[in-house]
Amino acid sequence: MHQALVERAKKGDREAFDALARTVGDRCMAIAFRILRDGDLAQDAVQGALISAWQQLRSLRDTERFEPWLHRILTHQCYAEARRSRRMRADVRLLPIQQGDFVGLQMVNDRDELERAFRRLTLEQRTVLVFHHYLGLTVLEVAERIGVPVGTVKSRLHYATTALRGSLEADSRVPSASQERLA
Amino acid sequence: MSTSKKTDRAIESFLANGLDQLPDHVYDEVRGHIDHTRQRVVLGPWKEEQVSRFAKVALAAAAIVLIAVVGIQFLPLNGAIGSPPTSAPTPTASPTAMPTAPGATPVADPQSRLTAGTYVAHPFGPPNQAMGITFTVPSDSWEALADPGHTTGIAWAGDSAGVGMGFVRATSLNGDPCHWSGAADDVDVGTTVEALVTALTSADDFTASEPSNVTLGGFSGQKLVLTMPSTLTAGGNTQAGCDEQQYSIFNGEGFTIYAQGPENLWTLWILDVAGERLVIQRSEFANSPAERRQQLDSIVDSIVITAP
Repeated sequence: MHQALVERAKKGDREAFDALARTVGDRCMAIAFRILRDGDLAQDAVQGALISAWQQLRSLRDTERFEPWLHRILTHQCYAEARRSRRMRADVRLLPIQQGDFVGLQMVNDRDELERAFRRLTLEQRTVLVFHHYLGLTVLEVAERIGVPVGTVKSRLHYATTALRGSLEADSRVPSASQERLA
Repeated sequence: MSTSKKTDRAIESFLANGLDQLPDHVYDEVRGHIDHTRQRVVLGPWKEEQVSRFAKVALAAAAIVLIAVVGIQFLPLNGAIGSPPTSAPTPTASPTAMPTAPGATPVADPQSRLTAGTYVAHPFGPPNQAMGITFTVPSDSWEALADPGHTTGIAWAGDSAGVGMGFVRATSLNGDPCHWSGAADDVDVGTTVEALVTALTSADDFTASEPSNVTLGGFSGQKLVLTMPSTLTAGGNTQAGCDEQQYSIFNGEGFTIYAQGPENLWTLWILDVAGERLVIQRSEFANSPAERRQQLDSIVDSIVITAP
């Protein structure tokens, strides 16, 4: 879909790259935010990834693979951004919960618990979850996109899912303060 | 619903929410950056692709010339078939860059296969605004590496096997040469010769020799030799697990060569050219053919740098 723009950008056409960036930027932002759980870091990561992509575009051999290639750059940029900023804290900053996104108090509690549990995962585990559950990629596709073996993806997915499930189950066994107040 | 599916659904629902729009100012910042940044030229893919392209162009040109010559031989002199030719066919230009006669002005910024002679590269900008690097190629065995309009280095034509030379204006080093695609962990190299030498000798991803004072092409600076890790695999862009399968040290303008294999030797001349830092990066292996290394010696010795 973007191939014509990629071809032009690869030849040094800055207008084409600008248009390309505006085509893929929102999706990159969505991925980066979900990995990093921080809007500012995510913006920085996407900005760095797009600049890197421009600089390295000539090394992209298959222009049809631009977006997967960009996502791999973005993934590494997310890791580097997190390392550099050291802002990946264990404490929790809850996101505003939109009414209607979740139905019922249990779902709100699940979301809070998932937010806490998700932040306890490694960046690599989060990345696999985002590519698999958010982008809907298969394990093989995730492996190709982030450049790690399939077995590694499976392992990360297993541990991440188990950790999140454990958090949800623990949460359902111990009534939250909110539930107690409502009871 | 099974516990597994319930968990998956909860994760998907959780991930469906969150920021998903990149603010306009980020696009503006990206645009502002790329307006002042040229794309990197990489060595690895060039070796096969560029040579292949040159070979195709050369073959096409030869074929056209052959057809023209044969055509002339067989054309009826009276022009009975079709209209009579109004002029002799013009031979198609060969992609080979021809040198000028001895003492004449060197050919500026050749873009393809070179013949023995003297050339001048302007790797960082137009000739009237950027430094020029004049060098003499001793044989027909070299080809120019070029950003559009600018020669940024040379390499042994055909299968270079990692023998070449690039002109680089380094802006940073990759914090992790294997995972170099991001910019967040890039190592600042300042703007001086000393700052870049310090950054290179402080890195632990490769071996750096003791720097020594040097003068090359009329400008002084420091020279050091980097040895790429012995753990790399043979061939340039074949490093499994690394971004784009390349092990990349430099970021910057010009010809940023990445590691061409285990124990690839890089001789660096880091020069102060009237306040502008230039890196001349020579790439080879200890067991590269003697002929190639000797010719590289000759080319390096011939270098004359002209400040902008």
